[in-house]
Amino acid sequence: MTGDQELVQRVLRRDEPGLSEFIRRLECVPRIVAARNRRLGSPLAASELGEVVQDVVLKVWENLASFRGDASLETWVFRFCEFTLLNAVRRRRRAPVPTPTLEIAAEEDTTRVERSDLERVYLALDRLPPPEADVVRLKHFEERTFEWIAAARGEPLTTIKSRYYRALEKMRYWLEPGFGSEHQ
Amino acid sequence: MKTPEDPQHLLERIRAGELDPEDPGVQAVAQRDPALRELIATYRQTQETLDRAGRTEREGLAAVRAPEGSVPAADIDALVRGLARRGGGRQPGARGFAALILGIAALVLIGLAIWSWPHGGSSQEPPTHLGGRLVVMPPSAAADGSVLLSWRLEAAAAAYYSALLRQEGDPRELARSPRLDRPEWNLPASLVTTLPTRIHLQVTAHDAAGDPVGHVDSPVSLPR
Repeated sequence: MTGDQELVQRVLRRDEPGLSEFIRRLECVPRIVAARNRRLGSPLAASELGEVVQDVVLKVWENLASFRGDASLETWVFRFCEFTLLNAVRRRRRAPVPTPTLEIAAEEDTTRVERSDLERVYLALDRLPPPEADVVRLKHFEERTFEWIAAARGEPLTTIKSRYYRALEKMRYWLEPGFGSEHQ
Repeated sequence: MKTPEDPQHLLERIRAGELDPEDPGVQAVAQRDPALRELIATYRQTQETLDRAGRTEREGLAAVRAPEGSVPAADIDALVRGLARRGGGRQPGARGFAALILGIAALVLIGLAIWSWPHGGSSQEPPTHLGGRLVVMPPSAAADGSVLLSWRLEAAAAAYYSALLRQEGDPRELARSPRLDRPEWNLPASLVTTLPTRIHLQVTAHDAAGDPVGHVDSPVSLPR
């Protein structure tokens, strides 16, 4: 069990020092949300970001028992930040336009949920068997070499590479724009 | 007989982790073989998408070390402590009686699914679950030849997406559902006749915000 998994278990048991440590770690949420919002061209105002942060914390809390410790707590939380922020941005785009100069409203699309590359990658990783997702994540998100992954997981290099290329073949379909956003 | 330069043989060796697509020998064959060339190109395309996603995540995570955020830390403190007092977080045993009832209901549901499975439950591969628990129900055939696939999720979901595969992990789908608002997918007779009896069903449940809340991979035997 990783240190972060232990921390989450302590939080689930309502261990007070664990809860305090967990809250301190969640202070990354407003920073991540603000940074990602800036990177997107600041589509949301500071007041709206507060709501996003609250939603992220709620989702993190509701899903806490599913934390597997494959990556750090912050990396796991980042995913909630990304989905929640982009969903808020999409809702904002669908909302009535308060001023005629709001450019993002012109791009509104109320019939399809267009996913960002990162969202599609996260969803595709969810569909992979966990050992394959683990290799892809370590290779591309943590920039590890195959040799490092094989040593860290205690498995033959060929097994790791085999998982990786099989994962790539599956993901090529799942990463196509529009995948998973069909409407009846 | 397969030669070392046979594209199919090279592909099998790549999939077995014995060869890299960038290996000069593979590249040389790919120059002559369009299918291998296309596969290598899609590997690269997928790798580029993954690299971009990885960069985006690392860049976002760099903000963890930023000096301040948009919301005072005290707000998070109050929010989390409030949630902890309310008993959320799906803590095992935190909701004693309710958890027990839910657990019994889930066991009954799973038991019913296994009991009524056309070929018996013992020889089936166990379904794999991610996120919320999704249970695949036995398929039912209608007089017109259509087959209804259905499943149950422990919590409510806003939409489901489903796919049929020949076997688990096969990247080529036999069929894909549109967005499903209910936990079921009616396969028309025209589709059923094209499918093998033993197939693999994948279902992903999403909440109203579009986030995945449950996923299941399960073998299914189609009634005829």
